[in-house]
Amino acid sequence: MKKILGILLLVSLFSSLPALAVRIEISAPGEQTIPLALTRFLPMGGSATDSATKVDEVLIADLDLSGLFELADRAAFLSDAEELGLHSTKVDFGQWRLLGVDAVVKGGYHIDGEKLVVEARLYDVVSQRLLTGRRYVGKVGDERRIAHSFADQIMLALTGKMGPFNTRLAYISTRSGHKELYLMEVDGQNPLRLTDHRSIVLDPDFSPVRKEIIYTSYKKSNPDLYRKEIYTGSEARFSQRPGLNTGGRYRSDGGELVVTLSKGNNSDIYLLGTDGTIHKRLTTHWGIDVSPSWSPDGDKIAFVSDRRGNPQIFVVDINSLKVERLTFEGKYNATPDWSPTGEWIAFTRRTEGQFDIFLIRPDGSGEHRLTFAPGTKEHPRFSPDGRFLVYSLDLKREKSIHVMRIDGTGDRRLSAPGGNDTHPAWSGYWQ
Amino acid sequence: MSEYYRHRRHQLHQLLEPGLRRMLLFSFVLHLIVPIILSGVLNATHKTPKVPVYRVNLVNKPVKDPRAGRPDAVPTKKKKKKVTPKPVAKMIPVKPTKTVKTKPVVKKSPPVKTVKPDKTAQKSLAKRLAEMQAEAERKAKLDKLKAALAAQQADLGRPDVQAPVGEPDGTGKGIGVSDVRYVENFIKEQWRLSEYQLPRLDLEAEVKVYYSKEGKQGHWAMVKKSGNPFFDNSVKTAIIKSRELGYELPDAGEFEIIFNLKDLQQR
Repeated sequence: MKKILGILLLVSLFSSLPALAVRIEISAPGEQTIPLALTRFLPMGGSATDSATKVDEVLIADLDLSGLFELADRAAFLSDAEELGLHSTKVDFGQWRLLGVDAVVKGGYHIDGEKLVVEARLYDVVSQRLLTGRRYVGKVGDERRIAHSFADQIMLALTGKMGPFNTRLAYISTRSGHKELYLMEVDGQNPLRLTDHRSIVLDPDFSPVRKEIIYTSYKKSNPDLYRKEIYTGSEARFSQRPGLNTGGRYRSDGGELVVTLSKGNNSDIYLLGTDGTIHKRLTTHWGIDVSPSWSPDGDKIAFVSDRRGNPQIFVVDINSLKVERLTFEGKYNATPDWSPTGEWIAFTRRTEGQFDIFLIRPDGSGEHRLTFAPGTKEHPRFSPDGRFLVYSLDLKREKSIHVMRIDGTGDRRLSAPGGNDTHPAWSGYWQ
Repeated sequence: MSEYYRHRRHQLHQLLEPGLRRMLLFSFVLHLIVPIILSGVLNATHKTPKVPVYRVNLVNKPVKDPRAGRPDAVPTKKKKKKVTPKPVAKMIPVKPTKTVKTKPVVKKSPPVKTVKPDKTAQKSLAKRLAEMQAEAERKAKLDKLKAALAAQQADLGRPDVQAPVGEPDGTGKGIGVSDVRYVENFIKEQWRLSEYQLPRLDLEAEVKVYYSKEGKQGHWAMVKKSGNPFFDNSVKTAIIKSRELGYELPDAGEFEIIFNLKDLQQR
């Protein structure tokens, strides 16, 4: 009897043991894009205008540049695309799931005289919840700004980091017959000339805290440093020491600048206060030191020097003044720009008769080439979120401004044909 | 005579500059070294490792018991044993025909003097010759075709030309659908995540999910989170989207699924 009981106990014990789970490892997502449905914005009362088209165009271009999305074909949209759906309860998520999208953008607009109101929403189709929503109030004509702003919000909702679409690009163009300073939107639209020096303007940089640009100009024959308030247009000469006053770059808090000064002799790197006074000399060498760029924490500066024979990238610690060489490959490395994330330094290198853009980590590791197409690429500058690079391309005797992702993909031309456009600079977030 | 030659050699040595032989030797060595250096033989040549080529079957479902998919896939020892050359040894009894039967033929050769056998022999010889010629032509044609095929494959320049469909470590027959691989592929297809959403790629999350025999999802739980909300959210979305496998499993059971980005890190 005891034996039978023991066997029964053993049987019941084994039958109650859970079956071993099957272990599966998935080491990459099936797709590296988010399937997104971008519906056309609908009028909230009143008749339809071209405002929806303007918003639509900008959103499509921005989201495409981000490289984050796979936009669903509008021809496949079902009836919910014709519904306003500004509240999650009024969205038929089943329809969107059927299309295989993970997120849907819906929106509406209302025009009252000159006043424009735009409501925009981003929904998660799987969890059926609102990811982000905004109500924009502006004037008719603000559609582009509103769309750029909502594209930034979409990026924030899906990556945790704001997009750079509602920012500006400064650049130098010869469209007026002289090298003048211009401003445009990040998709190359609405170019605006800011200077009329009828001389040579070079190397702009945005103030991170004010809507202000610094640049070098030969207006008074000497390459002096100027600052200009963008909206008031007021301009002031900022550093006019004999010789070079170039390559001005603001520290990330806007409290100091780094510049190249030659003071009539050899060019070296200096720290200036916002009032133009010299705070510190960072390099003291017979070699030519130019093109400084701040690290995001403001402790180090990357610059170009020919102190070892050929132009190479060096990094100087602004406290200890210790200089370390960063690049060892190539015979001509120039124009470094430190990523706002601190992860990369972009620079140009002459390879096979043309300059191409490279990235290197601040510790000298991970150096790799980003551009391979024909033409010389110069002056790479990071976007404020560190996701994109803007640069100038010299191809077939025409210089144009281009933008690409920092993995070298998504390259596109921004500036319109018909002028030589160089020296791009990316603003901070445009409030 | 030898004295004469020795004397002449001595005279020549006196005529030539001292150390000329050494110089000539040095020049010879230099002439030898310079072309070697220029040819690049001495340069360290790093053989780039052969890039592994995988045949990815995008049409059929992942197979159960996959077969070998690489030309360099190591065959199993069992298979080798089967191909032991023992049967060849059995085929050898050709020898007796050579040794034993040829001798009587030599002995019987005298009657060859008769005319009739000559004609038949000539006929058979001619027939045999014609056959051999035809065989040779056929072989030549075959060789030509083989050479053309080899040239065509070489022209393609692809290492995967001869790679059979299968997997690098596969040894099976490739018949049937692998249930585990099906579930893995199905959930992977539902997992959508962009590199641009993440600050780093060393993230990992683990999910336990139960599927019924009919392939319907039961309870699931996130056992381990990566700490990145976007990564974790994408994993959750993938699991939610995998409610129904659309495939019948042999048994109901629990799956421990680890999500990471190892493949992206390796790029």
